[in-house]
Amino acid sequence: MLKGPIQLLRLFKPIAANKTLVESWTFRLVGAPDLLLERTVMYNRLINAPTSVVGHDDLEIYERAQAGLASDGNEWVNIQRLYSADEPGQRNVVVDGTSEWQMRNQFRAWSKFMTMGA
Amino acid sequence: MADAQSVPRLEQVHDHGRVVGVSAIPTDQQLVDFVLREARLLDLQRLDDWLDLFAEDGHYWMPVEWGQSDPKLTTSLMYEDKLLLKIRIDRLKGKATYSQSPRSRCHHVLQTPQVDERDDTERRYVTWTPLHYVESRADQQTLYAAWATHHLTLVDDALKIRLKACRSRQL
Repeated sequence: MLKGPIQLLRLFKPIAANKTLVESWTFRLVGAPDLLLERTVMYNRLINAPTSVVGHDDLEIYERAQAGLASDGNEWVNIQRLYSADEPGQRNVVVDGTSEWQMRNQFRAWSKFMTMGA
Repeated sequence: MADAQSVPRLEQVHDHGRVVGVSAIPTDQQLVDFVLREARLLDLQRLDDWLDLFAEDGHYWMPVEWGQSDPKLTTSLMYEDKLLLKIRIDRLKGKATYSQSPRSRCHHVLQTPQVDERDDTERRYVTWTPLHYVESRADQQTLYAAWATHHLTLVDDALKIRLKACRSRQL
């Protein structure tokens, strides 16, 4: 994930089903005043650092989702939210923010590429 | 425990031959007591009282590299002024903060703080405190080893934190 205006890059490296390494890179522009780097580094502390105040609740969700996936309670992951039968084939549409359309598209793409040439 | 950490007021202070005037000089023991009390307030979750220990321009710094000297142009775990620390505390009080339900608890085991620097003229005092820090969150318990450096000053005869720097684990 690249944030151009503040010269910051976040790189997500999947390691295992239950482990992801998140790298955060800050960049210093050649010849730019220190204040710009100071801002980049501040953003990195406030948002990306493990000590960030805004990250904890997201991480809690990831951990709970992981615990749910690891349980035997239900073999299905429900991604039906805001499903519409006319989704397939549509491009660049704007929908409600809680729609799981993008997850459905991801699995449609997976299905397409896994069966390509079969 | 008293809420204010007052120190004795002296009529005149002679320091390096200069008369500083009416002032107050904390003893080494008062500096040590201040650091111990700071940890106690955190352990007791008296976070508003803890925040009051900081001077208005105070900062809390957690560097990420060994020997790191610049908090602004190099990456740190945190470098927060009093406003950001207040936001951190207010967030813990929020009902929607579900990652902190139940709240984490902590326990500091401090070595006796050592007074590394003392400048009574500038009201500048630096202590160094090695510590073990145990934190429990839900059913997990984590142990950290750290060195805490407190840069203290006097504001209206009360000791206040200008900078607390906490170097953790392998740092």
